[in-house]
Amino acid sequence: MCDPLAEVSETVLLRRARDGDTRAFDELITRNRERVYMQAFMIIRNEEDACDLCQEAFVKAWRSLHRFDGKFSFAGWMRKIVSNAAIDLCRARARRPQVGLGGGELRPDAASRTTPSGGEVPGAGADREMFRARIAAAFEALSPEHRQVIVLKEIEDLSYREIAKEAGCSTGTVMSRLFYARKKLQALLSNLKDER
Amino acid sequence: MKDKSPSSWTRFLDSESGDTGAFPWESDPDARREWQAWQAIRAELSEALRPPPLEHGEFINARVMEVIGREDVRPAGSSGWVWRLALGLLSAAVVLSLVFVPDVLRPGGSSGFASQVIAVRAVHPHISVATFHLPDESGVVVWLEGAPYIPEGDQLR
Repeated sequence: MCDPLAEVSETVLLRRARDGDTRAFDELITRNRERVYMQAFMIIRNEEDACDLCQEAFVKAWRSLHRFDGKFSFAGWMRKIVSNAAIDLCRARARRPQVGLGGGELRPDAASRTTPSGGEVPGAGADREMFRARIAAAFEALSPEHRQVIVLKEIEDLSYREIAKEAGCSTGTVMSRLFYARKKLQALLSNLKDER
Repeated sequence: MKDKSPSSWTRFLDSESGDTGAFPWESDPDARREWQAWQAIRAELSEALRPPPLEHGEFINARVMEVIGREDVRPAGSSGWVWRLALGLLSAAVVLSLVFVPDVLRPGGSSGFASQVIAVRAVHPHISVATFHLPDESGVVVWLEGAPYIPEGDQLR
């Protein structure tokens, strides 16, 4: 039997949800949960936490539905909620040592170089999967704010202005964060390569 | 590669020249190499950061619905605004009545003062005493001047 809500537009679902229709909201969750989970995971880097964040984000969205003005898509609104919730969780957590591949500890201090690492193209001639694993390991060593801008720019393909709106800061701050996030990522990748 | 501000270098890596036109270091071999290095990372970022697939996503629905049901949380729609406004007005009315109405209703309360002098007497020539009723009749304040305490043997009348 097909779900009658599956064909209903997002606008109608939102209106019904605002009126207290939990079934309509359930359908909105179904349509957006994969994406919200992915966005949470990208920043939090933990499957279980990402699921918890996903759940919390939807509960928060339900409580704040009256504030959703429809200027953005529901997906965009959820991205903002979950991305900020992920950053809050990262901040709240006690810092733990970041361990890279092979048990070697990453050295974030190397990221303080004033220029992005140049020279050899990362990953050239290396096994692609290994390169991806190194990127993931280096990415985890970034601060949550740096992870957020990288994800929003490189994965979500948002403009500086859109990122600024989501992160609640100026476009100048976004560009500065991107600059240092990339530098740090490249420096960490370079360190991982050296340790192999 | 001089004059690389964070914003211009970021635009350069994103291939967004914007209003600034070409970048001064664009033809610099080091800059080109770094640009290529970032493109190589960028090409793999999406796959590198990809999360494990969300299995049993319906659990998320179930857990959210459970929380919503347990807390009986309803989205605060237009009716919520009306209720909050009504509650706010009611609270304001209660506060205002507590502040102003007793003064009006109390005998002598229309004087506009927070308290009223009800007696000024001093038996001792160097001591002056004034007594005040508190507005809510909860007590009397005795204001003593000319001595730090009431001397032994003196009386207040």
